[in-house]
Amino acid sequence: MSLHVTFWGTRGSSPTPGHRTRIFGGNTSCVSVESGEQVFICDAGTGMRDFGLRLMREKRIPFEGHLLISHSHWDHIQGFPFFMPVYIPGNTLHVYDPAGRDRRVYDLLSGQMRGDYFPVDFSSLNANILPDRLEEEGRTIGDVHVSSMMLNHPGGSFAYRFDHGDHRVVFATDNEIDTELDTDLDPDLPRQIPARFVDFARGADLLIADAQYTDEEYPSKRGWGHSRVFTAVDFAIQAGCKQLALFHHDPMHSDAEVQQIEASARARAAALGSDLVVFAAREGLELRYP
Amino acid sequence: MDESTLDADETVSASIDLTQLALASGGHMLHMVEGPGAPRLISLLDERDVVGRSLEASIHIPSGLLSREHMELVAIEGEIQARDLDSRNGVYLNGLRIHAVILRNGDVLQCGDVVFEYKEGA
Repeated sequence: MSLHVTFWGTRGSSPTPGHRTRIFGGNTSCVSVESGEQVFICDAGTGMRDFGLRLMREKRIPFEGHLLISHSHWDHIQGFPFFMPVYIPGNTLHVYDPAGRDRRVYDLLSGQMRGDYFPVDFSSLNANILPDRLEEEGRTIGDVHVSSMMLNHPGGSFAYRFDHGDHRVVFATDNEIDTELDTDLDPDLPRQIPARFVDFARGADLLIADAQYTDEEYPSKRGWGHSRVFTAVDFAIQAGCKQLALFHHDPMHSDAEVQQIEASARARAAALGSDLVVFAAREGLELRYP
Repeated sequence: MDESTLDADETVSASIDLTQLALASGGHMLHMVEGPGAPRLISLLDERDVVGRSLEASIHIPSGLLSREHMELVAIEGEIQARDLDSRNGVYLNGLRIHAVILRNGDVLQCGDVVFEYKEGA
């Protein structure tokens, strides 16, 4: 059995439909990680809608999924009310709180469907939507061990790691590593990534990492909770990852700009003597490990 | 007019016109730029096409580096999804090994020694 990763939404902050973002996509954060019958959904951004449509088209009923959201900022939860499988009787969605917290995510998701925000009340959803929690030591669900780690983001955010046999996928978005770095260092030198991040992602086949800002953009965005592209590259290299997906694209970045960022990230990895495979995450892209 | 009556320039011009006509009518195309039989323009007119070395493949390419059924191209709501059919040598998108992707204009797909450029129709 393999780990099957699909990008449904790769954009950060705000949905950005239109011709400028057609290649990498305009939907906000949502990535599925599947292993056989086990379906894990990282984040419920607007990309989650398309994932639901795919499941309906493929008639995957009854559907059982596990929702793990990084945090509850808008761009990570807005797709939930449009996820068709939650309207279908017989389907089941487990909604997890990381770090042993109780029902916070469940309450936030249901709260955004109150009448002031949305015409359909959460209580009208026909699927079984079950609050659950992910213990600090993680949990094995089916044949996948899932664990989490707190990231550096205003209000908090969580990374998730999926281990299956010898394969590992890490989802780590909304994470400002840069405020934990020594800012006086030459930006061309490798940035010393804090050990807790490196240890969590160590040896991953795929690291999906926040890479919202270029070095030039970052000074005016410091404290907003997102990393620089080159910091994400250094993170992946120091953790010994095989592939890095640049994720949480800035809504101001057009496809052409994301392509330039991708090229600069590849050049950085090469300049550091690494064979890391770097690419910009794009909607509709599916990867399989092995 | 029979193609044999055209001179070389007119032949090129006529084939470009056909390509433009196909693209303008919404037809998506693969331009095979490397591999046995390249260059070759392939119109994606069916709901599903299969690239492979099998004679039954709708896009048959006689390459030993292709699996019998290597990659499928499926029309989904007006877009084309490329999907690896568990091929031995894999499918690469712009250099990245992938399982599947929704294609965009200018994407480069590689299957073994065969390289395609994707041309998106109107």
